[in-house]
Order: sequence, then structure tokens, then C-alpha cells
Amino acid sequence: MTTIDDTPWRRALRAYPSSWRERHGEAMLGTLLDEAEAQGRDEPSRGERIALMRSGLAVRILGWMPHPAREALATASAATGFALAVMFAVFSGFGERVDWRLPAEGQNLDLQASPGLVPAGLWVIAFVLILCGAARAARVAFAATAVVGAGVFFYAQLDPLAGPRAITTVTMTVFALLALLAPVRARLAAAATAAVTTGILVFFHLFFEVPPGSPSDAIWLRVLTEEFTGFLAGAVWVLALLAAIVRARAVARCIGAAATVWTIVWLIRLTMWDVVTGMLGLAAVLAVVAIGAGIFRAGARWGRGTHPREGAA
Amino acid sequence: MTQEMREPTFLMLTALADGPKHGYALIEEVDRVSRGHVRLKVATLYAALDRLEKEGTIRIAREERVQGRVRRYVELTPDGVDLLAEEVARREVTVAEARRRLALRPAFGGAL
Repeated sequence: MTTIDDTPWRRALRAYPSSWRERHGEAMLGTLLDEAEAQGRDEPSRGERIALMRSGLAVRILGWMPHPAREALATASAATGFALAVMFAVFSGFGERVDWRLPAEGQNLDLQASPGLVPAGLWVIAFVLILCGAARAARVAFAATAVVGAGVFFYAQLDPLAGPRAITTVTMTVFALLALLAPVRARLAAAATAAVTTGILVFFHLFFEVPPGSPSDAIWLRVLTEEFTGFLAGAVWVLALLAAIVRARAVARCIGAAATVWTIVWLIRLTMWDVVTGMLGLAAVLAVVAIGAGIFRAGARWGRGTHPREGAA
Repeated sequence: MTQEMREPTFLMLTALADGPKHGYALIEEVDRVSRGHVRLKVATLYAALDRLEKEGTIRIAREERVQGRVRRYVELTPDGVDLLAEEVARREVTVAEARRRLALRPAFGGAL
């Protein structure tokens, strides 16, 4: 075994949080040096640096979230985002872009394509790739969707008549980022979630009356409202709880992820309506999560017989 | 509903089936078991080991320091052995079915 200066590898490992380095840092460094020696290298390869950087950042951002939860959330986001993208493309992709601040005369009332069709189209491609089993290619498409979604958001801020409303682009971008949490491989769960979500949204869209005189952006008016998203999130949480009670764990995880996604949409909607209300909503959600986690941990301790009362008995 | 085991995880557990191994030995063994099709990156390996350890599938057997380098040996837990045995049985059933169906094909061509 020859001696290699390990400084460049130690530097590359700084991408990981200190807690990870304390647990795995030295063992990982040993493996990296073993491999470098076997390949006759005295510094990390470019691919190795990129892999360490990417993996380290992933641990920093997502290390707190268990892998199954990450997968479930990515699946639910991909499916829900697909439903919203299809809804947007069908009901809001083409329309008259009327400037409500100006008189009706002289406005261009021809049907125009919305720039929001670009991220919506990319989303459909990403979802088709998931259904075909190409999870990695789908991640590339989701990354492109997030970038394009953010671009359309800024473009629409410059010219409000050109693009979709901010709630649509922000939701699509956030979902695309959530879909990147983990490769989506649960094709059946993704397809079922997308089908059910699309069904609910289409039903609501077709049977909800638009207030007269409202500006036309169908998906925003009917589906992406505080009331509807809040109601849907609550209803899906109840379903997830019922699934958990009957111990259908996989189903509960899938429905719980969908409920989380709709809670996120609700919080986005609240925040975009009013920041203070959004923060209050976030505080309420965090409080419920903390209470739920407390009950779950107490239940787990009870199950192991280490509950204080159990010990006293 | 049981979760499907992915190929790299299956290969890692297979590589550990005959005893504890340290990081680089595990990379080499996975490469050998997969006949050169899967070469794990160190970052991927440790992310997977961290996950498998949290799930109770593997555990740290011992650590050695060889000329200043830490070598951490990991091994399958009893749960990990059971999990691997179940996955092998599941794959054997699939393989047997694939063999049976292939045997049903006509000897020449059979595209029609």
C-alpha cells in the first residue's frame, strides 16, 4: 500500500454534513483511497468529485427524511403535478389574454397559446417516462420542468398577459423539485394517484361555477384556490388516517404523501394570498406534525414496554 | 405489499452473503458478482450502506486501521439474511417461469 496525500479527498468530503462525516467520513476516505490506489490515481477523478458533491448535498438537504418517505413524496408530487399540468393544458393552455385594466375596445381577443404549455408539456413527457420505467430520464425532464417553470414565472411577471398566473407556475416548479427527491419507480402508485387526482380535478372543474366577470384562468379559479386545496388536503389526510388505522401501510403511505402534497399546495396558496396567513398556516401544520410525531413516539415506546407507566407497574 | 429490491441492493447483499467485507472489497465483489455490469461509486455505496444499516439489514462487524486508513467491515444481520433468502426465492420463481415459457416456444423462430 503506497501513501497518497488524502487532502483533496478530505476537501471533497466537506460536501457532507459534519454528522455524516463523523459517522462515515474516515471509512469512506479509506475506501476512496483504496480505489484511487488500485486505479493509480493520486487525486479524485472529476466524476468522483461530482458524485461526492451531489451525494453530500443530497444528504445535507434530504438526510433528515427517511428514504421511503422521500420516494412516496416524489411519486405523489409527480402524479399530482401531472394532473395539474394536464388540467392546465386542456382548460387554460389556449385562451383570450384580456387585459382587465383596459377598456374592451381594441383588445386582441384571438386565442393565444400560453407559455405555461411548455412546462406542462415537459411534465407530461416526464410522467410518460416514469410509466415507461425510465426513472432517470424522467428526473432530467423534471429538472428541465423546474427550470422552465421558474423561467415562465419570471416572464409572466414582466408581461402578465403572456403567461399563466403565478400560482400555476410556482406550483408546477415546486412539484417538479419535489419529484426530484427520489427516482419514481412505483409506476402503479403513480398511475393510480394521477388518475384519481385528474378525476377529482376534472369533476370539480366542470361542476364549479365561475363567478361572473372573473378574469379567465380556469385552473386558478376553480382548482388552485385556498378553499378547494384546503378541503382536498383535509379529506385526503382523513383517508390516509383510515388506511393507517386498518394497517394498510403501503396504501397509507401513498395517500399520506398525496395529502402532504396538497397541504403544500394549500400553504403556497395561502402564502401567495397573504404572507402572514401563510405563515400561520405553516405554524398550524408544524404543530399538528409535532403532536402527531409525539403521539407516534409515545405509542412506539408503549409498544416496547418502556413507557413510564409500564415501568412503574 | 412488499417493496421490490433493486439490483444494486441485491448485489450488495449477495456480496455480503459469505461474510463481512470492507468498502473497497464490496465494490470489487459487486463488480465481480454482476460480471462487470455494475460498478458502484463510493458515494453511492455509503449512501446505500447508511440506508441498509438504518433498516437493520446490515451492521458494522468491525473496524481496522491499515497503514492509517480505516477499513470498516459490514455484515448481514439475521434480518438481512432472511431478506436476501426471500429475494432469492422470489427471483428463482420468476426465472423458473421464464425458463418454462421459453421452452414452450417452437424450435425455429417462433415469431408468429
